[in-house]
Amino acid sequence: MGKLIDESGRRTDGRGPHEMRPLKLEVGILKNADGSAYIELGRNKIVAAVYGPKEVHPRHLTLPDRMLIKCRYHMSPFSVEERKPPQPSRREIEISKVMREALEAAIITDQYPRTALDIFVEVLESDGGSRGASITAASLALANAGIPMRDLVAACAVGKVDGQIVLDLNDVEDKEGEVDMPVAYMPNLDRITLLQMDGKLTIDEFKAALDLALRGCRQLYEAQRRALYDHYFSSAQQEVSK
Amino acid sequence: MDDLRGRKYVVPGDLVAGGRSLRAGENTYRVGNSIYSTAVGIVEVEDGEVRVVPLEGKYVPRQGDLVVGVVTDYNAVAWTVDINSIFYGTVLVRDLVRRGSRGRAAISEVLNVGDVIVAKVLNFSVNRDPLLSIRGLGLGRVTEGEVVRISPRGVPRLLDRRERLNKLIEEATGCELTVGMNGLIVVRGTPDGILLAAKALRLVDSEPRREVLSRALRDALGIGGKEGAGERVGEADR
Repeated sequence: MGKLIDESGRRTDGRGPHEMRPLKLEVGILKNADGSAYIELGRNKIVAAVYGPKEVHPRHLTLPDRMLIKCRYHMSPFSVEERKPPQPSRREIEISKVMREALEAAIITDQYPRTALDIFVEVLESDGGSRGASITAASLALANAGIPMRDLVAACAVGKVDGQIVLDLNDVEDKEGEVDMPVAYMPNLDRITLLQMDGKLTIDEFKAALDLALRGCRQLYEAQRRALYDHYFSSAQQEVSK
Repeated sequence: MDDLRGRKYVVPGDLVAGGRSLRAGENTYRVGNSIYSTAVGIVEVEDGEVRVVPLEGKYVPRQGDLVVGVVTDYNAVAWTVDINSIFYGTVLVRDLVRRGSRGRAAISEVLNVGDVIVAKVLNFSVNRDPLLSIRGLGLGRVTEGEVVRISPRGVPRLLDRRERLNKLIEEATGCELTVGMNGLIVVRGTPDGILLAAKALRLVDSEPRREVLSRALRDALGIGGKEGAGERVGEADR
């Protein structure tokens, strides 16, 4: 105990308890996809790509009243310290499912019935909190593909490390900390679309953790908006202010 | 108008307008007293309705639209046409081939796989694939020229009634453009003209801002000069 947070309250990577890792977001990085985005959060490096809406294959999976959304979260074999077998693991299948549900809440699926939408997320380098970073990036890729959405979805993790509630766990904190709690959130609508938790928290700790997570998501949301504005309107803003 | 938040460029979830005086149009939705955007785009207000003109997204067919497509398959009933949309288009065989002579050879003689066609959308709803027709003036199989692809979101810029950029390109390159609402454009003319027109169309594709675009386009077409061009710029500014 006490080795993940030192006497002065600094974490293993020098951050304070409520500080997020350095973030970089980019929109429209793939030419062949209908929409794409890239995120770096600490040492996480993740690419998200969206294809669609398009016809559903195989045909019998077609939903008569809404869009079929498929999502694949995948970690590259070289994304972790020891080679990860390329076939989807139990964990990746689970993350694919919860990601799809977290994003589907934002997508207006009944606007294009009988169509399919593919969301691919590839983790190139992993550093803890990758499902949150993946949702954040995938939501930008959806906007880039022109998929109608109620709001952008931002997601990050909070947790308990050495008895303290901290924001945005890194790899070591994720593995050796007491609690890991990823949260996805639509800030404009004030709706949570994903909430998972590993470990135990008291009710007061949970409230503090959730509050911290939502603050983290709002911070990410601002960065998402900035990334979209930079991609689409950077020179336009100057044009308007003239 | 007072309800508009003055924001011109929006991303999904952004507040477009508040209050009750405006109706929520295309690519927006209302929650209580607020109207939010569902797309990355530019806000427009017309007749008490706010809408967001999207900068991304696939072509969604509308009845009456002119589209350019490629025949991908056919059977005894219909041809299937790739119209660069979320759905494939359908052209009915019974519209074009007389009953009694609807053999495989007779059908493929009218339209074959790989043919480029200019067609009109007869009927479309999200519950039914778009029905196309190639009977009519200017419609039918394309026998000459090149197809240039741009984003379907660039087409309204090209056909803008004030700027008339398609006419501008036609005059400057000596080509004839058939603009499909789905972003496929048939260009007919001399090889040099087609190359120049393709370059101009790519510019329309990449620049969403009207003022910047018309200036850049005139430069690219080499009509940014004094006499004739000055007159056109004035026209565009009106």
